[in-house]
Amino acid sequence: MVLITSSTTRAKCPYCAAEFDIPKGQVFATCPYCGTTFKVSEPTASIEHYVFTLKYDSNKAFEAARLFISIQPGVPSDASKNINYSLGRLYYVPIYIYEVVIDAPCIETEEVSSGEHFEASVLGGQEAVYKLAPGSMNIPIPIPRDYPFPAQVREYFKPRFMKEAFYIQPTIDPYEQLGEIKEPYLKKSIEEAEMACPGKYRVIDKSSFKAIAHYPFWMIEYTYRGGNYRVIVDGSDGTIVYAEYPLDPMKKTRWLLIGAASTLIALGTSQLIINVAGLSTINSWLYSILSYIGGIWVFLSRFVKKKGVYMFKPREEGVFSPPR
Amino acid sequence: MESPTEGYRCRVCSAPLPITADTIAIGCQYCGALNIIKHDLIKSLYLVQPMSEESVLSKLEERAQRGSSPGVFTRSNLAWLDKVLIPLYIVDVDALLNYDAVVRVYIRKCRRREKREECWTETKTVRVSGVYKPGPRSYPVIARRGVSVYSAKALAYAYLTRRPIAKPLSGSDQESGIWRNLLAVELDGKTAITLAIDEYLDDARDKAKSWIKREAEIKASTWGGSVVGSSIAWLRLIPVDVKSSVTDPIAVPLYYAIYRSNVGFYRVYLAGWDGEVILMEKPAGRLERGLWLVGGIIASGVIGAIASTLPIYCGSNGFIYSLLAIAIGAYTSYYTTRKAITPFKTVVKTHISKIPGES
Repeated sequence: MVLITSSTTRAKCPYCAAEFDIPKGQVFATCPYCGTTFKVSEPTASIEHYVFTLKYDSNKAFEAARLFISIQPGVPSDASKNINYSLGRLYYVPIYIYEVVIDAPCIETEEVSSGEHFEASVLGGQEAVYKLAPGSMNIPIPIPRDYPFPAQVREYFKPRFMKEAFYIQPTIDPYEQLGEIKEPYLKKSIEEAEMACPGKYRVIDKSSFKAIAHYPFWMIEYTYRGGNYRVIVDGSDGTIVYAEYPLDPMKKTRWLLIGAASTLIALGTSQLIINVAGLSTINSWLYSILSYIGGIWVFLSRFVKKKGVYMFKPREEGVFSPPR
Repeated sequence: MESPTEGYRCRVCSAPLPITADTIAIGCQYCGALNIIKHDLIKSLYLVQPMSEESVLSKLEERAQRGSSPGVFTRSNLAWLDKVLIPLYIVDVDALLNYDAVVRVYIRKCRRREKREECWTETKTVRVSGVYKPGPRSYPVIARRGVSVYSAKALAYAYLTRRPIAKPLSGSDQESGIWRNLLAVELDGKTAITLAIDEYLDDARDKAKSWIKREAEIKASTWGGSVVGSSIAWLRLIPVDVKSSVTDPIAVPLYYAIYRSNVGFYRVYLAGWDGEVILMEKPAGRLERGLWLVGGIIASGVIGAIASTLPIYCGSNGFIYSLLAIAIGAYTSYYTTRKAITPFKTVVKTHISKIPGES
């Protein structure tokens, strides 16, 4: 299944000569017959196209989701037993792999380099980094920015992946994106070279777009007592990326009462300090409540709604990403 | 279409190998034998012998018995256990940084005139030059393209700190099933050197700039007054005598376990050679969560009281200070309340101070 969102145009595979329809404006096309991926504007240029191995089938993904949902705050105690699988859709999301290597050596430098040793009399600027970026702006499932996709690849793309899953076409031009990605590194490298040998250096930009990779995500839908909920599961390692879950009215009320009590105690603490210290104040109630507004927001945003929502936070939870 | 790297098969069992254009060495997923694809880029591979799964689990259980959550990390709660061999290069780097800089140093001076004290800030321009010696340093570079997750970096630094014995491979080692868990080697030694030098020099340049400013401030302080800050107006910073060498890749074991109990599930990463914890989640007790909630309430209450007095006691800037205090209070209450509500876990990280960019 290929997600086609706009009108189509005809493309011809440079390897097997098969003709097929692709959405207009698409940068790359993948032949549904032989699996060759090529640039639409330059079909003869070869493109490496990989896919990350799917390690979680829909049952395993649902089990991971069930376990995860059962421990969320405010979830009914019977959620683990009474949630029912209703639908599982596999999406292959395109990501681009870039290698940014910028060298700005001083012209006068003398370098000795073998496989195991390196010596240089003077060094200018240098930057080397691997970067990943989404290959489409139209990804229909909520994946957080900076999601820690692994950079390494697993297997070459096969046409069957397009038939077994919702295959999202890459639509962003990677060569334009590479310019944006390497810009800060280029600038830094030149700054370093300017500090070391002003005006007497060369800039060698070996940065390249390495490959397209498609990454599997499951969108699992489940029901609980008549309500419908969605979960997005990383199909490669089972990380829960996004989850909606039911909230128990009693638990919600309990948490909101704790929130109200916390607000009153914070206000009371302020007034107590002001009175004991004999301080002169302006609008002390307003200032005190504003100082606790973050806490009030947490309680209200979590528990004044029908569904709970979890979103993976790369900064907080990325530490547990497995080294895939 | 068959890609140029498709069709490679394991030299022992002939199973297909999922290699890419960058693969240098890979373990067979079926028989576990090691397959070196690019012999010109790898001379040898060293192995840190992993502990058995049994020993690792016992060690963790033993540790948990001494801690606050003994009931969670038991065999009956173990939901998942996996082992990965992470290939590392250890790269030694040393360099000197010649510097020549013009620094603006800001000096605050005061004098008494008719019982009133007058203060002002003067800017002095100071030129400093010399050689900054960051000293030699070793870097673990993961031989897998783009791996930057904390668990792998923490393992690399744990290896560097404890240096367990790594043995070169013999022929029979290559055919033992252990390589099934190897992350394929994708970087050669030369690339590892480039990455390590980049990291070393980025760090050394930052330190050199602080060193230069400090040196200029010391010079300027001899002219009286008190130094309140400095900025570099012009800088020449030249890395010279850069030397670097790299080891052969070393396969270092990492265990990953998930424990499931009636209060949630908890993930643990362990150094595979001695079972020490690299990174773990453990249950946050009611007391701990309660302390976060109460601490946040009291802190916000105190900040609220201060914020309401600032417009009176701090003159024309009082309102701005008050807004600043409210922002601090609001963030404190947001952070502490989140800690009190979710997640119901505490994260334990080790080796954190060793990892650049982590705090």
